[in-house]
Amino acid sequence: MADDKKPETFNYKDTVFLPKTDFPMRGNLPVNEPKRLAKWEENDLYAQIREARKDAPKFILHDGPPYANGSIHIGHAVNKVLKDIVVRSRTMMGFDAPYVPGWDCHGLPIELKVEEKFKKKKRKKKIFRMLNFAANAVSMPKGKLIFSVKNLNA
Amino acid sequence: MDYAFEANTVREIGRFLENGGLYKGAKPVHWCVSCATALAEAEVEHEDHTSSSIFVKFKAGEDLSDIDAALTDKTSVVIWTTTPWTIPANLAISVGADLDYVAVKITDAGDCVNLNVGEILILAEGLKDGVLSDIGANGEVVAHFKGSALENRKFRHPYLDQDAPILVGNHVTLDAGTGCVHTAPGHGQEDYEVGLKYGLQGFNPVGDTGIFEQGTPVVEGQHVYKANAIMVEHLQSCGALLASEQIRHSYPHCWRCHKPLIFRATPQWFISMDKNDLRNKALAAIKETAWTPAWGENRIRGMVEQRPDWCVSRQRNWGVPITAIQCVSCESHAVTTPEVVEGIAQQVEQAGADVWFAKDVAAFLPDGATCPDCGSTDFEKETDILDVWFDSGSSHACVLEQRDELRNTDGSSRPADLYLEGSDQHRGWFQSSLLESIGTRGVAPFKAVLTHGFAVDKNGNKMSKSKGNVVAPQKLINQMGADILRLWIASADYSADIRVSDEIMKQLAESYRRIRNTIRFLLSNLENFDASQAISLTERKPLDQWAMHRLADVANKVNASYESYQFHQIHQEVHNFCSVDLGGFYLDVIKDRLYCDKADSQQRLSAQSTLYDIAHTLVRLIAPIVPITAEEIWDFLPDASDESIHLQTFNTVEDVNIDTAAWDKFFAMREAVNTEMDVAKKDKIIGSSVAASVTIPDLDMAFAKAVGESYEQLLIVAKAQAGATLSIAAAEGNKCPRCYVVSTPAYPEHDVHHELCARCFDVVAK
Repeated sequence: MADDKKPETFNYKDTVFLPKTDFPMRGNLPVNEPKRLAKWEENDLYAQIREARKDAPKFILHDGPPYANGSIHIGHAVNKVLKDIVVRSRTMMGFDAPYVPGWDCHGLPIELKVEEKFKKKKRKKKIFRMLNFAANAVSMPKGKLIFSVKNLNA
Repeated sequence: MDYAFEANTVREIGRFLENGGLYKGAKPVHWCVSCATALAEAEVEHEDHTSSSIFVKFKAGEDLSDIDAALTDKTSVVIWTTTPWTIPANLAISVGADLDYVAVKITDAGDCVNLNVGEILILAEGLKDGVLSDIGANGEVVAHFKGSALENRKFRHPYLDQDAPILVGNHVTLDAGTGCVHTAPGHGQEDYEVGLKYGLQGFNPVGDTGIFEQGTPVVEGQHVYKANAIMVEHLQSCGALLASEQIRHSYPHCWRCHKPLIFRATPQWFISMDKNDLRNKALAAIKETAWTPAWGENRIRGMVEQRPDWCVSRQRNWGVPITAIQCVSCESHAVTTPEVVEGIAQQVEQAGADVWFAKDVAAFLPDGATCPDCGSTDFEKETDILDVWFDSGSSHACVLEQRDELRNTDGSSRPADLYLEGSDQHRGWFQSSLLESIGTRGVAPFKAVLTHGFAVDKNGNKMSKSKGNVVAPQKLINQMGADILRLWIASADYSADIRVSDEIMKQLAESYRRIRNTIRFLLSNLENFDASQAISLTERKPLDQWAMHRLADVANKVNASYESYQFHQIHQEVHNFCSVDLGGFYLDVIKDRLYCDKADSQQRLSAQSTLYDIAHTLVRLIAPIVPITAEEIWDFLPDASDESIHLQTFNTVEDVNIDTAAWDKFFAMREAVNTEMDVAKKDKIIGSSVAASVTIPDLDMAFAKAVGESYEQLLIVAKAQAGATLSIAAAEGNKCPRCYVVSTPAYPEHDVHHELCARCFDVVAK
């Protein structure tokens, strides 16, 4: 470059195509996830999926017995998330893969909770049933829309 | 539980009653004296327990000299047991027919007060030395004989006025003890079976809360847990105890209350493993089922081969009753016909299982019902309830067959495609479901079964409240997000236990960021990209074709991994693709094209078309694992439909042949250049690789030509040339103010753009 040709400044930035997107770098998941789940719930995404796959071949994952200790823990999460991944991936393979819990508030876990609550000492041969009572007295774990488009434990 | 479920459970047990698979017997079963109920195998947990281990003499009750003249009237058999409380129920001693036994004449009784020099002890030959050492005595062998020689010979209970005959049984081994096994048919399964062969009944003096019944000598009114010490003391004082010590061993405990269990013979309902060929049919079905991981098959097969009949009755307060009606006079249940069962089921459907206890037996029988076996008209209801594992084992019938959405489109019911639970369910739900379904329908309720390990802490310890190492999923979700938790679960090889720690979660969060930001880069270069302008695969630049080939490979592997439930391989594939193939190479190389080429140039469109395909594929591949993130990406992706990503299907990626060998050679060369580059940077020869001039031996110019990129572009350097040795120097030339590539300005005489390189001059000034 010769000295007599002093360069003029030119803003080349406007001539290149630098990457541009509003997709955020950070997921900020703890804040954004509940909003997304609420939206899915509002649009009943689960029903949309069922409708979209209604004529497709079935894939049935049968949900198993609940954990007896009644509180949701990481092992519970492992099981529910693996099931959820199976169901979602089978859905994306084109199957109609409904997720239907085979178990409600059922049997032993409730009995354990009821007995715990009342510290029942004496034994009765007579069988008594307090299902409605138990359902009210014992708050069973709820998936809280965490693991699935549909409340897994509903 | 809803009434319909209860009613269907009633129908299921009714099927077993009808086909004869269900019977009432008095076998010894695991019994919890704290919960006062029988327990199934699946409800038993083994924990450490301290027991008294005792050696006890049973004196000869008759002349044995016909077996061998050495067997004098001072002869005893020695047994060993860790359950002294079962001695009151002893009815016999078992030996192995073909095992070798010896008679030992005591020459030195040591400190043993209940043993005298000259006494004869019968022991298995193979265990003799150990027993004598445990007793602290010495002796000489005076006779040899097989166990069969002792069969039916009489010995005497150590303190009761009754005989303990010798039985011959296959269960006797030389693993431990004396080879002469204390046999209490009311307190042990093998004892019960060997006793049956000799006409001995299961004698059980223990009540359902563990208290010895009135009239039981020595231990009457005592609790079984306390009876061990009492029995040891009594055997010592009556001269029968040869030795005792405390041992710590694995012992069955109740899964609910964690108290030690006992075996106790009481009237219980059983599902026979052999009636209707249940065991063999179940084994055949196990073979037909796909087990993930594969070892699950051997595990459950071993359990089903070995298991005793299934004890399905419980003496508890909560559950579905065994709705059988018994004749008071002959104890037959024949009046409980299929019609009667269906009537009961319908009542349960209306009013719940309580109806069984609320109403009189007559409400469940037709008017004037008589016992088909004896003609009696006097009936009573059974009051036991069903094992909860029978309830859960019936879920296929109560759920899969009942709900419309779980049937085939033609309305027929079908086995589930998959059962997926923790690996403790081989003996629990998988087995109860299999036996229930085979026993009533002849087919397995599932086509495939997947088991996973358990979450453990970073040291491999089980999580427990007492250890304080419990990780709450909600806490992780609140701190990091559900998608990170899910990515952790998906990335773990669940065939073993699954570790969780802060370190592992941090790695996963890092991996999540890598994948997220790779996709963010794709999106950021697709702004205003019009897919209708996309360039077809064969028209794209070879480098882009290489990227597509890698994408196709990743997609195929990921799809196969979803198919076979190997999710941890998916995370590995996707993460490697993002960090190595894309982040570590491809995206870096095409940046120059994307940022600096003309907007509508074919080269730039070729790159964008490829990024578009990659983004559309990746978002689908990760959607089942990180569903929320995938939906967020979907919102920003050009041409993504307004419908959710979760309504989409996986796409097929168009593949193209590439010269894999040539590419491998290139990557090896690139690796060597990068290593050298790091040295050059460290030595301050160059500031960054874009300002480097690289000399490379054996540079394959044909490859660069075939790929359609220069080595400067592929290596992102200022200059690459062939030379004798690999070396790096600072490049000559100027840094183009637009693209930062070091080169010679194209038009140094230009008024404005005199610093630009040829490509940039072309884009800006023309």
